[in-house]
Amino acid sequence: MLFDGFTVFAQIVNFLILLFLLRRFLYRPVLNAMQERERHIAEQLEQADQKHQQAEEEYQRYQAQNQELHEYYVQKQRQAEEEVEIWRKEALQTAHQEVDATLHNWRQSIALEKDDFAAGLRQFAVQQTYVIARRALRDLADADFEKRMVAVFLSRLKQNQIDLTQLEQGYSETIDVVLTLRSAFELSPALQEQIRRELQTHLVKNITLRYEIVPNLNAGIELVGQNGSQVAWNLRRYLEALEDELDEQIQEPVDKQKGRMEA
Amino acid sequence: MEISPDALVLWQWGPVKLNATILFTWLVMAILVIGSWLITRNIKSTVAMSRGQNMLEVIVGGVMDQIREISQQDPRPYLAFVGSLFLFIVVSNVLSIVPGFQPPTGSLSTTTALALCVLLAVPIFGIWQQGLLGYLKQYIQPTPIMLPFNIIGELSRTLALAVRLFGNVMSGGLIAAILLSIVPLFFPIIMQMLGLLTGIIQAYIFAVLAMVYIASATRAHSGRDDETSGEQSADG
Repeated sequence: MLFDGFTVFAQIVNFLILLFLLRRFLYRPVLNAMQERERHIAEQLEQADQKHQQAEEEYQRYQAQNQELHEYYVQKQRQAEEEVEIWRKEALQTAHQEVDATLHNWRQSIALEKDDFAAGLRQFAVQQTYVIARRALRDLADADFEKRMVAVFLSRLKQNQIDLTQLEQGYSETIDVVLTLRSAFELSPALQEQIRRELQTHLVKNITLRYEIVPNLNAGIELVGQNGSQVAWNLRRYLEALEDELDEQIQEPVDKQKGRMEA
Repeated sequence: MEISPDALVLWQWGPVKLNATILFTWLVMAILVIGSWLITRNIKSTVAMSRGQNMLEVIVGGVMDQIREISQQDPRPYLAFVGSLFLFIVVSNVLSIVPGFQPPTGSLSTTTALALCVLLAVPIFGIWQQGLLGYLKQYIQPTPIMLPFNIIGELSRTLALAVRLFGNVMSGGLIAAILLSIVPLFFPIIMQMLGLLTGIIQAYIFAVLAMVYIASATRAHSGRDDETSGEQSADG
């Protein structure tokens, strides 16, 4: 017989027992292990997500710091450029000032040298002129230059062509006027007396005349009062004209040189 | 030649008897339970695991995937029942290649017992999911006129389950025995390999059909289509 009632019942019981045992020894532990593993993997994934999020935040913070650093760098660079520009302008200005000062000193030095040269040249010209004129008068006209100058001075004095009033100003009437007669050459006593007498005739007060030889007195004579007033009869006016002419002759090449330097 | 192992009675005391079906069923049960216990006593929840645990997880995961795919529900409530059916049948059928072993599934009593278990499990799961009224309403769907046909359908599919499995396993073993007597070399091996394939497929079909019936009872108003398609695929 293919079908047995007791066997059917026994197999149902067997299957139920198998069901219980497999649930106890197979499905429950395997499911628990799988769930535990899934939970563990989920936790790891969650931790990985958290770490990824932290890494993202770190990255954002690093980016922000990097940006801040870049801005700080740009600001510092701009500040340094501005400071360098200020320093450059100051240095340029200082250099200009130093160049100007050097140029000014150089011009002053040139001017001093020119003045010294002009003074030396003038002195040399005066001496040479004086020497030449004196020699020419003696050789060609048989005349003494100093005597002729004094003679002309006295002549003009007699003709009232020389104003002596300034020599008396500031003196009281009771005091003698002290005058200093300076000459570049030795005056003979006769000439000295002749000059004193002629002066006395033109002055109101009594005079006391003192003689003084000054070699660089431009080849002439000069009266100096105690009040500082002067009456000169010498080559100074001619020499000043000569000096102006020499200055023009000297200044012309200097101005050309200066123009070339400024260009 | 015995068609069913029920006929081989080893011990009997009145109506209580110990036949080859029950004995080999106990053997299969022992293999399953002791094997599971040996593997799961050192079970680990880490990624690294033993080969046995890996095999059990593949089997359990595969069964759960099939249940989820069929029922579109959480597979855990049905895993023990459907998984036990599948494992018992497949182990019984695979062991049929062992000389002297008579598969319990080759007994109509065993397949009837398993079919009766399915017949009982369907209303139990149906009532558990939908309640008593919700489950009973299915028998009068789409009209109350369909009530007797639905009841007949329940009984006939249970009978079909039992006879299909019995017929396939019994015929496989019988054909192998007959061929062994006619053509003793080579050809029985091929038939036994074919019998292994048939046995595994039948275990799969039995478990899938059981799940289809349970799913049709647990899903309101949508179970009949699944049942019809399941029957067609099983017969094919």
